[in-house]
Amino acid sequence: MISDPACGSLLIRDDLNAFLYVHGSRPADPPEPAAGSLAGMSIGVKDNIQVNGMPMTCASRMLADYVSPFDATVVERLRRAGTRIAGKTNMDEFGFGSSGEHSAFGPTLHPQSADRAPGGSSSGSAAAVAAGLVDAALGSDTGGSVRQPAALCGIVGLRPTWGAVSRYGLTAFASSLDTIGVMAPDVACTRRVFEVIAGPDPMDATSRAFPGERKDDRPGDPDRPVIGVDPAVERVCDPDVLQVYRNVVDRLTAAGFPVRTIDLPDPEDMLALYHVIASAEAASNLNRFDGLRYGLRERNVIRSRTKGFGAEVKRRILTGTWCLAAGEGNAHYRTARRVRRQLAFRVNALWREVDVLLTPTAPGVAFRLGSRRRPLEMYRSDQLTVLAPLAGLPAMNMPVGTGSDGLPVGVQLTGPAFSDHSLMKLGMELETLMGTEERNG
Amino acid sequence: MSQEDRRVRRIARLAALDLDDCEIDQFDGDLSDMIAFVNRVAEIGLPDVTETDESASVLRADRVFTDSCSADLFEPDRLDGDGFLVVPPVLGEDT
Repeated sequence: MISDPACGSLLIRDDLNAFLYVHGSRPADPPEPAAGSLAGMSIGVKDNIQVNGMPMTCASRMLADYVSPFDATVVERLRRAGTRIAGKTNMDEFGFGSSGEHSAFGPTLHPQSADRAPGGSSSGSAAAVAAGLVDAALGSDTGGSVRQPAALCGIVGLRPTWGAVSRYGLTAFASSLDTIGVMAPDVACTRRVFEVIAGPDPMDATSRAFPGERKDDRPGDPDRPVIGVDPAVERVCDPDVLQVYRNVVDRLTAAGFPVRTIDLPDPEDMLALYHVIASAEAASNLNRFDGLRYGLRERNVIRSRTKGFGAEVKRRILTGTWCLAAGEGNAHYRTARRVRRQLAFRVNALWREVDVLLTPTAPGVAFRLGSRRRPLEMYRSDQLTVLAPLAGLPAMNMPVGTGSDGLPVGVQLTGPAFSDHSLMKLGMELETLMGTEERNG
Repeated sequence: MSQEDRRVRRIARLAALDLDDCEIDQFDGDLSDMIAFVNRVAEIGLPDVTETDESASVLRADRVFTDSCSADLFEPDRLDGDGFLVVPPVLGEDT
């Protein structure tokens, strides 16, 4: 039990290990404001985002004693809107993982079943929202870290367009892929939080304002966007997930949404492409953790890094360093960058035919803790979510049903860059169609 | 020591990590699996990009102004008819 004797504003029963730090558990924590468009809303913040005065560990021994000296832009905007920052949520160390098991401070547990993984890397944010410990949470999404745990826990998870939300104050994993995303019980709540945190920020040169509405010269009903589906993605999914996914397609078709078959790139190819780029950027970004300026300090840099990083972080750093090393994998890295550009052109060409892509979010339901011992098995949890980051697109998980064992199943809506609002509008219609609005609300 | 062991040790040294023998054994297999997996990147058959972007960054030399303040920027002769600040063109400046 983690309680808040100082402020009396929060009481969290955290059997899930969803929180690494709860606001008010230190006497010095300042009281939170109570006015603004999100007044009274409690928000969990993933522990790789800076919240002034609170610890930020990235779930790593490397940063176990680090306390944030400033607010990330998203946190500053949330505070101004009157939210209460409930605390810092557990995660896979530095964002490397898809299960929530790779935290130096113990795994996050699934709210419905303690022997299952809630997904990751934003495991604590997903579990906290699904269990009703907070109204909404921030996560970060590099290859699916908001959408995949949202799918496994049965909540909404939005990965915004790359650049739509400032990343100032987010600990970098892979800078060309990283975004800060929103996790909430329903789309309406997701939208309210997103509208507060989105928008350009002088502290992040990659942030951008939303351009005007996309001019759509295709004939058709603008209120009935054309939905693209690729039957090939079905071969990577479990039967439980497929059944729910096909039901969603049928419901949308019956409701008058035009559904068109399209040809998406092979998910295994995209996963390989993602791992070359993400690992290379991660190895480069994590060079800053040397124990000299902050973090764990041992006798020398090598000992600090060796002792501070967990096994999965070391594994990713090794892969990334191999990808960048002359005479090793750097030819792959150059190829991957070229293929990524080709991919973006190919995916952007799809928007001449369809408005939204619909796929399952994760290939299966929440798996048992410890059941995926080989790294590649674990990485395959993300094979349906890596397309959006590679192409810089917004994507959102929608909880739409359950599998045979009662565990949640989600589908993913992906749209053109800066179509975030259109995705959320369609998401709300999908909630109504599937009857999840009532269930979540 | 196998060739794979030597490779992991070399990469670990480049990454400023000091792995013990047990970790070397573990990561040797993992890295080999990942290398085999990412090799498929070279085989991905996406069509070549036919549209190319010909634009390039146009840089303007930094100039330090010591005789003006922000208020000067909004003098009427610096504004166009719609009240926008007039600045020299950057793109296509040389043409």
